[in-house]
Amino acid sequence: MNLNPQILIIEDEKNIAMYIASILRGASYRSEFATSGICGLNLAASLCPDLILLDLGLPDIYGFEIIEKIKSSSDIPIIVISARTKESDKVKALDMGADDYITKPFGSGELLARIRACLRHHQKTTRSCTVYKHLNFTIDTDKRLVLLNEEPVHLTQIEYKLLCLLSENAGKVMTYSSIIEKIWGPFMDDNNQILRVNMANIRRKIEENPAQPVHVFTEIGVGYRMAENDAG
Amino acid sequence: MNTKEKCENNCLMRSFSHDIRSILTGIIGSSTIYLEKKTMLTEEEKTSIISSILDDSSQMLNMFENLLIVIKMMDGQLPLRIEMESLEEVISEAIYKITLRYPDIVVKASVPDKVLFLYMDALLMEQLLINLFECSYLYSDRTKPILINITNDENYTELRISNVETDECRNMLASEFKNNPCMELPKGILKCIRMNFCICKKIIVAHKGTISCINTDIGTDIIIKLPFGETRDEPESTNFNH
Repeated sequence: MNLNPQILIIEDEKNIAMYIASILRGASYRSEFATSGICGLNLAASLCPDLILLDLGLPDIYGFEIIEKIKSSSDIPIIVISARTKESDKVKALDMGADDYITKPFGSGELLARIRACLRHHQKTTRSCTVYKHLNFTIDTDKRLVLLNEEPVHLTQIEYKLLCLLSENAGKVMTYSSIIEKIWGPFMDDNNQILRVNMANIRRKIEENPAQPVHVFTEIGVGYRMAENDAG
Repeated sequence: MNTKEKCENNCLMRSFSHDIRSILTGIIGSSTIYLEKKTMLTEEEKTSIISSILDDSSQMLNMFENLLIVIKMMDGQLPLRIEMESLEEVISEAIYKITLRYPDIVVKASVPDKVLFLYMDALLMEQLLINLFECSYLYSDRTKPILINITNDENYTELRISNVETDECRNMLASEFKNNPCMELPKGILKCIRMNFCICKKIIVAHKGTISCINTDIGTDIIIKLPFGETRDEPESTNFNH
């Protein structure tokens, strides 16, 4: 019995679906694909895949509607496949429950990294990881320690909370609004200036060059993404 | 849109369609050779053909991003989404994206200790930086890094991007920024550079900034000045062609 994760591709461009399927096959994932929204919803219900790759621009149903329908009845992680120019669509999809997005055109490494991060995050309910490690940077939430090159990094309370939140979701993008809500609470206004100032201060403390970060990346118009956890 | 702007945009559109056709011809040609002569090609030749297809496709991708901007400009549909943005975040994402496209590109950016927030349309500014990086990568000495330095005075933030092209392009670049871009474009690689710079210039003008270039001992530096203050005229949006 093949227990490798199964991934459902909902994408109307057959060439792209085939390209994705071949990347997935090469990484030992099982895959199925649907070229319409209705077919995708049926397969999602019957297969219960471990993850769905969803193109927003389908011929029959809006991608957002698919996210809504799938998320209302299951917790299957969804990665949205999106066109670059529609930042607002990405945010909307993430706010509606999509777990991450990837922008066309994408390479195999980028796609597989997103899938890995998504599956890992989804399985976290059963195994919690209290140590985040990426290159020379470590966060140990048990010991409340943040280390860079083995040296403690002095952070404010908010900066520490931000790093913990991003590291818990390492590899996944987090929207400005979801970060603000989790750190400052639901009644904070949607002005993300305070978040950006804090992120800029964090970059100065943990990145060798704040203009070329290696630990926390900016996704303009969407949010922030922390590099994948080397510690698993 | 006034006559001059129409003329500029028409020139750009003609250049785009010509260049896209040229690149597509290369892609079709290379893939045809691969399919028809596969058995006669060495492994090295096969790799070279596939690499050229990949390079052409990457270049075309950036052309399409620019094309989208021009189409929106022509339709007068490009309201700038001006917001306070962190300049270093825009620079870092532009570097990240160009590195995905050209993995061996070397860009070194340095930012001031003080966090800089400027009013800008972040996606347009990112596209501008990607254009400059691409020109530099495609037509400059790849052994030298592209350098970005940021300084600021009371009113303006200055971005200086060094190593943007080789000696042969210097004069053309200098005249490009001084003269009207609405003119016959030169052949070959210079055309791509000029087109990318035309887009850059429009983006900077829309931000009420300036873009200029100076020749240095090692190449040409592009200098972009962006105002600190709010750059939009109206609260809702500012048309690109003001």
